Order: sequence, then structure tokens, then C-alpha cells
Amino acid sequence: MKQILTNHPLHSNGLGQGGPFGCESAVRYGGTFYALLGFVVLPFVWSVPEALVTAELGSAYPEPAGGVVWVEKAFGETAAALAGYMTWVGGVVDNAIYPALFLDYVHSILGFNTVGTTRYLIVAAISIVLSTVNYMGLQIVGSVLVLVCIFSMSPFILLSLFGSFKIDPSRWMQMPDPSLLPPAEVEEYTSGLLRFPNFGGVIWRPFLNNLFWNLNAFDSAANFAGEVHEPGRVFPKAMFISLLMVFFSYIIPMLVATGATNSSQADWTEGYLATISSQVVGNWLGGWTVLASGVSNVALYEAEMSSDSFQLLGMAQRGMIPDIFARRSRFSTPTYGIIVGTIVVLIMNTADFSAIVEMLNFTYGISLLMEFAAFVKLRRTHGNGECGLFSFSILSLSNSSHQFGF
Amino acid sequence: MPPVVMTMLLMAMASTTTFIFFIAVLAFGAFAHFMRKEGKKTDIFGSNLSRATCDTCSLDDLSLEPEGNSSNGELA
Repeated sequence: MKQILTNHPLHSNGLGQGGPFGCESAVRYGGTFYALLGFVVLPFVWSVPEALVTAELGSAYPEPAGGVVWVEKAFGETAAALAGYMTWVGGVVDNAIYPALFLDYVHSILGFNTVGTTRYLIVAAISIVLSTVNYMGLQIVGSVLVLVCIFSMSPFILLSLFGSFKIDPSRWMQMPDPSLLPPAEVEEYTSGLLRFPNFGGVIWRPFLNNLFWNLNAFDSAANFAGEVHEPGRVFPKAMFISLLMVFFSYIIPMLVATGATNSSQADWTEGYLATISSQVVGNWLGGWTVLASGVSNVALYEAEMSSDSFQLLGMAQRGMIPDIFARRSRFSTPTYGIIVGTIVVLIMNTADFSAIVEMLNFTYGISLLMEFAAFVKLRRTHGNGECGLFSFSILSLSNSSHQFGF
Repeated sequence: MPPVVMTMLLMAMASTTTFIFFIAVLAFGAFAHFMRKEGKKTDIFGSNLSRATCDTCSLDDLSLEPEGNSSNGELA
């Protein structure tokens, strides 16, 4: 039996809209000015084209495998299998972040930290519990996620209301200063096969990776395309609402958080938003922020796990991977997709936040590039043929805007 | 074009650890793909089990009628 998702769970579920948790690294490595600039400009570079492509192709090909179907239609089964594999790897690696991120928020408010084996066991236990909940049904997750989205944003709405009276706009102009950070940390992020200088004082590698991670994954909603009732109507609306929610849910709390406190960029570690809530409004809001972080990260974990496991289900149904992944549990969830995803999460839990973000961005970037290429190819072969590689963002915007009712 | 350029720039910045991780992921994928193709030849992995949509069901519950799109034309 097909489960029907309306656009409301879709734009909170498929897009991982769970508040600005995890954006601290953008300020830490880019300084206040460039972090704010990044959250204003980069949605138009990454989020908007991706959402438009998802809206159009998700409507055209309402199948569970999402972007994999688009690549298959454009380039064949082998390319699709590669794209699907990369998307899946990125997704399951991403899921390793949320339990650890929640723990960081708890630490920030309690003032102590857990490390080593103790930390791993806590994070692993959280992951297993959340995977079990996911196994028990998408319908439960999808319905609850609407409330989760509202609750996870609630502390930032209060922070914005109370903190707006304390804003000093000159703080937004704070430029980055790498000397404020530990030298070993700076050295770590300027190494690699290709060394990138920290021009402008910005440590570009973790800075851009954090922005990319926060502003992406719109295409994961397409993994639910086969479950959506009337995708041609629901998808464009869901994408548009999601774009607005993502943009405002990041930029407004960050404007208040950076403008209402005298924080240094070195203070911005994972969980620091809870500390700011305590400083600006009071300890009660700091605690509330931690609670919201917990709820948000649970929701993101569930959304990602559903997306990844249903993607495997779709790929199995298309004969790309062993048919065992097409099996559903008595809750109608993909049993083996959830099991394999959880195992990868448990392995990746050993890495730190920035390393996980970078690894998932790399693999996800491969699949994203393939999806964009598929979009261009399909537009040429199945569309009006007007879409060129150099203009597809603009054309997709204009050609898809009617779907949003403009 | 901007998202493509920015994404490629981001990937070019990756650390050595990430490149190694990526190569390992690719290697595993290639191995799995190879095994999948070999499996199809010997019908180990290629058997069509996609109708087995409930892993709590017993084999008796599954239909054994030939499926129209079965790759080998035999009972799935």
C-alpha cells in the first residue's frame, strides 16, 4: 500500500529543515561578515537551482529512487548506479552527524564534555534507537516532522524576538582573523592534496563545506516521489516553501546571534547557539535550545534514514542492486536499507564533525553534478531543447517558475 | 553553471583523508558492481526477489508464478 505524503511533511522531511543547528563552523572559519554573506548569497548558487531541478524532475519521474532515475534516463544504468551509490554514501555518512551534534549541544549547556569510548557508546546508542524508530514506520515520522519543524525553530524565533533589541549592526562587519584559532587547527585545514591559501582571512575548506552542508540536500526529497500523491502539484510547492524556510531559518537567527553578542569567532564551536541563547535571553532559552536541538537532530536523522533506505529500495526495484533491498518490513519500511545504513553510521561515528561533513560533501557533490548533467541532458532530449550548460540555472528558474504559480 | 563550478571547487579543496575515503568508497562500489554482474551470470544475486516485499512472510506466502519481466524467463 502506498503511503501518501502531502507537501507539509515533504518540505520538512525531505529537505531536512530543522533549524540552524550546526552552522557554527561557518562563523568560526569565515568570521561573522563572510558567514552572513555566505548564508545570503550561496542559497542562490546551490539551493535554488537544486530545488528547481528537484521540483521539475521529481514531478516528471515520481519514483522512489529520486535522482537515480533522472541519471538513468539520461545516461543509462551504470551511471545511475554510480549516482545512486554516491548519494547513498553521502546520506548515510551525513546521518552520523546528528547524534554527535545533539551531544555537543548538551555539552555546551552542561559545561562538560565526553570523549573517547564513552562518547562513542552514547552516540552509537542514540543512533541505534533512532534507526529502530525509523524501522517502525515512515508515516509516523512524516506526520510528526511537521510539529518537529515548528518546535525546533521555536527557540530561534524567541531568540530573534528578544535579541533583536540588543543588536549592534557593527558586529556584523567583523572580519575573519585566523590568528584567533589554534595554529594546529588552521594548519589542518590548509593541508591536503591541493593546498588552498586562506585569502581574506577565511579558512575556505571548512567554511565552504559547512555552508554547502547546511544549504543542500533538496534533491533528497525526490526519493519520496513515488510515495507522494499528485507529485506534479505537491513537489513545486514543497520546494518553494522549503527554500523560503531554509533561507529565513538560517539568516534571521544568525543575524541576531552575531549582532547581539560580543562573541569572538573562536567561540563558535558546535553547540554555541545554545550558549548564545543563554547569554542573550536567559538560561531557560539555552535549555530550550538544547531540547530543540535534540528534537531537530532526531528528525533529521529519521528523514535522512528514510530517504537513504527508500533510495536503496528504488534502486533494487530497478535491478541495480540485490533484490534483498527491495524487501519491506511489516511496517512497510525497507528493512535491509535501514540495517546497512545504521552500520555505516556506527562506523562513521568515530570521525569528528568537520571530517564527516567534508567526506559526505565530496560524495554527495559527485551525485549532485551527475543530477545537474542529467537535467541538462533530459531538457535537451525530452524538453524544449533550449537549455544549455551555461544557462541552465537561469532557464530552469524561468521555466519552472510557473510551477510555483508565478 | 554557478552550482557546478562551486561544487567542483569545493571538491578540489578536499583533504587527503577525504580523497582516501573517496577512493575506498569507489573501490568498494566497483567491487560490488563486479560481483553484481558476475552474480547475474550465475543467477546468484540476479534472481528476482522483488516480489518478496514482506520479510515476515514465509516462502509459502509468495507466489511462484512466472513473472513477465523475469530476466531468465524461469520461475522467480
